[in-house]
Amino acid sequence: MALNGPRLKYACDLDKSVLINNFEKRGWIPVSAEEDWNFYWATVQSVRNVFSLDVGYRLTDDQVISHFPSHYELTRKDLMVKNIKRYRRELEREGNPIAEKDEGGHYIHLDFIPVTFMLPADYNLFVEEFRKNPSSTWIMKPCGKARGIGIFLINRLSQLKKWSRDSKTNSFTAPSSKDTYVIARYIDNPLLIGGKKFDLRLYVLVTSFRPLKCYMYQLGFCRFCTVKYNASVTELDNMFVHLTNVSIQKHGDDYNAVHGGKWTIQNLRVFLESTRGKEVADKLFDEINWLTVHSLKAVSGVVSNDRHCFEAYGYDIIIDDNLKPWLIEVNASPSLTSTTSSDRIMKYKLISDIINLIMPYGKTPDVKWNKIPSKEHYGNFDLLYDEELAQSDLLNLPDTKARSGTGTTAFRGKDGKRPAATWK
Amino acid sequence: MGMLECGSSQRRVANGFGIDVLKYGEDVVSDFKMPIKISEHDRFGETSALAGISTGGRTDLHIAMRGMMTGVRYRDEILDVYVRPYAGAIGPQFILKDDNARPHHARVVEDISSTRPSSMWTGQHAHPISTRPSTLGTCYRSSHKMATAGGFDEDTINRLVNTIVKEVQDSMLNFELQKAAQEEVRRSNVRVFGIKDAVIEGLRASGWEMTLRNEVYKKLQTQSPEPHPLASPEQTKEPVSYIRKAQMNWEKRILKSVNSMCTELSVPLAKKRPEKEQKDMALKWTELGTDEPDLSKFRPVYAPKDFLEIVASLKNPNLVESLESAGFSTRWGIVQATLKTKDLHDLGAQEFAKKGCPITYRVDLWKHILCVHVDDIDTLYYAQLKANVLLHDMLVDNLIYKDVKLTATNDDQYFVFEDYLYQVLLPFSRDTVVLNHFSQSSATPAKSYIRGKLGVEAFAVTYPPNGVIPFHGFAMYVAPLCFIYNDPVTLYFMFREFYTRYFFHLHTLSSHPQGIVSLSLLFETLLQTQEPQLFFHLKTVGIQPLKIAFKWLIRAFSGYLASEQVLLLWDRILAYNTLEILPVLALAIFAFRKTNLMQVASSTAAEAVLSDLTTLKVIPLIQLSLFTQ
Repeated sequence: MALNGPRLKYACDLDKSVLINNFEKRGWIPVSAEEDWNFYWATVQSVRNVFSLDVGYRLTDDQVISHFPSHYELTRKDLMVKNIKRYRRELEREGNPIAEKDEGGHYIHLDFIPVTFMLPADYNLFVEEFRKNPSSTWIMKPCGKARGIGIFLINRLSQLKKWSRDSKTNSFTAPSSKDTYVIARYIDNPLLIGGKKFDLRLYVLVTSFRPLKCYMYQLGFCRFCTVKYNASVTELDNMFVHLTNVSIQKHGDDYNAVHGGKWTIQNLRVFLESTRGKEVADKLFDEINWLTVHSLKAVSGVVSNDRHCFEAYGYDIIIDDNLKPWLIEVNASPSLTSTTSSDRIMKYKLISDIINLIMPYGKTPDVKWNKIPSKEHYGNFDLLYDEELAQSDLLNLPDTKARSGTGTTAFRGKDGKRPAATWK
Repeated sequence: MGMLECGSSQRRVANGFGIDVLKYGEDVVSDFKMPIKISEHDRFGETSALAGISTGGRTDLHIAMRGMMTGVRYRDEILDVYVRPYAGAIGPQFILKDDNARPHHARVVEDISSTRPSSMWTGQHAHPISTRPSTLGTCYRSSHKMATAGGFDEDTINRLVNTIVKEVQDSMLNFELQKAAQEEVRRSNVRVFGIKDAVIEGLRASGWEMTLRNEVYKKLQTQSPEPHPLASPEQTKEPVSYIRKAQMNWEKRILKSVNSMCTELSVPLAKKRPEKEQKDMALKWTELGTDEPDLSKFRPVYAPKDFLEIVASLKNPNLVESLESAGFSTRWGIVQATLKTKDLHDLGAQEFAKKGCPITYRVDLWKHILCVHVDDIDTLYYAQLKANVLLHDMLVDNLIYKDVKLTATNDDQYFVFEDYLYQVLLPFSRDTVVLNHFSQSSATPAKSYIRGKLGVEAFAVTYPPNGVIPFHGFAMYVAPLCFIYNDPVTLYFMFREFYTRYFFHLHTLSSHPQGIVSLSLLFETLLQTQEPQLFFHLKTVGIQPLKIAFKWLIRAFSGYLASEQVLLLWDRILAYNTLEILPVLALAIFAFRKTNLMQVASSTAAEAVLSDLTTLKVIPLIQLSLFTQ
């Protein structure tokens, strides 16, 4: 089928077999990034160049590229937190029921990121919060880094003296993103399976931010730590216990190259449905879908919504032992390196399914298209949310509006009907 | 009509047990006319049970839903589609373990009823089972099974009743029942002249009656038929002598292999761990996987492939050689043993294709079916086993480690549970309760002698203490259960029950219809009759289908199918109380991949076609294969 399509030209910054194999299978022709391409799988730097005002490069209607120019609103740790906090305040100001709070003053539906502060900027706010609960553990992450680099845990204020002093001495120069950290409450009660900690890596494809159109990939996976989880203070320095990043775990003695510590979401579901019940499992996955949509809505106003762009994000989520999902961070360039053979198969499918959603029928891309692919092109993706469809649904079904209260969202679950679990 | 009869007689039988055990009342003997009631049921049972069920069902059903029973429901879930057309065949399947009407169960049950599509209840028949008949089915079925061999003679039944009564009397349950009965007597509304009825009524209302029935059912499951008075003990264990000899030789071979491993590596079979090691191990109990002993020199005692050779070498010496040499070989497959197997029709083909067990309820339903209710005593027992593990270092521990490392640790579905596997398998090797299953098995536990006392019976001990020497892939019997049981103790007892009821059959030579020899033969015969073309093709290019399917059978497909599918398959093993579903599924897989298999010309190619089964869906596959005939 794909072979019958036009012989598109592609450019690719990454030498990854899962990408190249997909392009070659479609009979596309490789070109350099300077030539006329139809499809460009670019690094974030290249995208920044393409869109930079200095270059003045104008994309034509038959060109698509793999990042949004200002994706960092979502993928930089500090900006994500800032945007989500703002989104919550806005909803609250509107009196939107989604921003409902419980007696303790916590958001009922929007409390999906751990309490987080910027350092050094919010140092004093952090100290105030820390003193409320001095035995808590916090995790420090450099804002601009990925794959677990530069991360460490603290449980005493003295361990942060450096940052507080630095913030005072350097108060004249605004710290660059290299020196800024986010400090977040550490989820110290993660759900353990077989005694081990894990997090979820989910792939979310966004084809447009305004109106928001996003898809959730079914073949995400759990990443397990190789070492038994141990919340004790003595283990705070042992990153094999705490960080699930494959790039970290790979160096552990117990790393298994056959499965790479990866467990499919399907396995997680079977386990949770069996041990905790189907309703509980459904609620969890429901909440994960919701927090994804909210995080995207939180940035949809600030991301420059270029029609040539699409982006596949890697969502990192930790589930605590009350089966509540927490959004830890969002990656703009989830790893396309394959650690195991099933990993390769999954990532190959991921790229293939992305291409099919961006360019159904293998046609030449057309940015004027309304980006509403038919279901047969979803592949292993599920439609998470399509603002356009949601609004037309609302027009067609006035009673939906009545039921959902405000009618801001019509959420499309797997079955095409909206789960009402998080709405009261 | 018949239904009422059955129901009431059942009640009497059950009361009889209760009374006798409690030593209340004097009409015990007369109440013990269980054989008569049962044979009555047998005569009418096949039709009457269903009739009664389908008429009386609905109202009863509501009671059932509320008060009792997940077990019944489970059966329903699994059975009811088939119940309708094949009521006769099913009658015996209505075993079910009722629950004890504890609130927990009631909740589970109500959940089920509220979530099940109403069509389940309003099909062309009313709901087939209510609680009581199902229990009746329980006793009836088990007795029936045992009685079929020698007909329904009263002696057999009496013997059964006596043994079980004795066993129940000796059990903890008896004590608890007495206590419960005393509670009942103390109630203010009990009058002296009606004391017996009141106590019985009270016990029933409080769920003790169900507990007792479940206990009786469990005992019935493990009773073996009375041996013929002239039969030797060996004959009783395995009536077919050439199979008996083969099993004995096989055991000798395993032993020899274990012994030579001991000598080569100069590792003793067992030794006390130094105190420090004991402490270390206790600390690391929940993460044994990280502390890997040097296993490079250990190798699994045997693999499914070795065992297949033995199965294939079984040969009935009574077969007339000349017939074979003249080219009249009746056996196309590799299993040469002559055992009676069922054909697809006997298997009640349609029965196997079923709806699944609702995943959320599996955790409780499986416990009910296997009568596993972990209490404080069980927890203590497990702790004792664990202490024994810490105390002694045994050669089998290394075999267990090796096996887990070779199988589950590298499995992308089960690696997560590695540590649980040690927590189950190490105590399992110390558990002498497992020895009881040898009374049902053609196998005999290996013996070893205290050092220096070789051959002196008084110093003989079974080795390992549970008598089971693990083979390559043994850990995979436990692995799928980890998806359901999150607590190592429950996991342990579930596995032990699974093993002693089903899995031991899969690595023991016997003429038992559940034994691996019969299952292998069943697979070959099914394939020959259902897919003759395919069988012929494979045979022509020199491929023996069993060589591929045997590893699936011996592991009950664990590790070959996706975890969810293994659980669906094991649902059916429990529901039908048989392993025969395994060869049926193996047949279905061959049939499903027939197009590809018809093109292969070498066994490597055939292996390749059948190497990845993780995408298969068990239930549609079985249905497809059975219904398209």
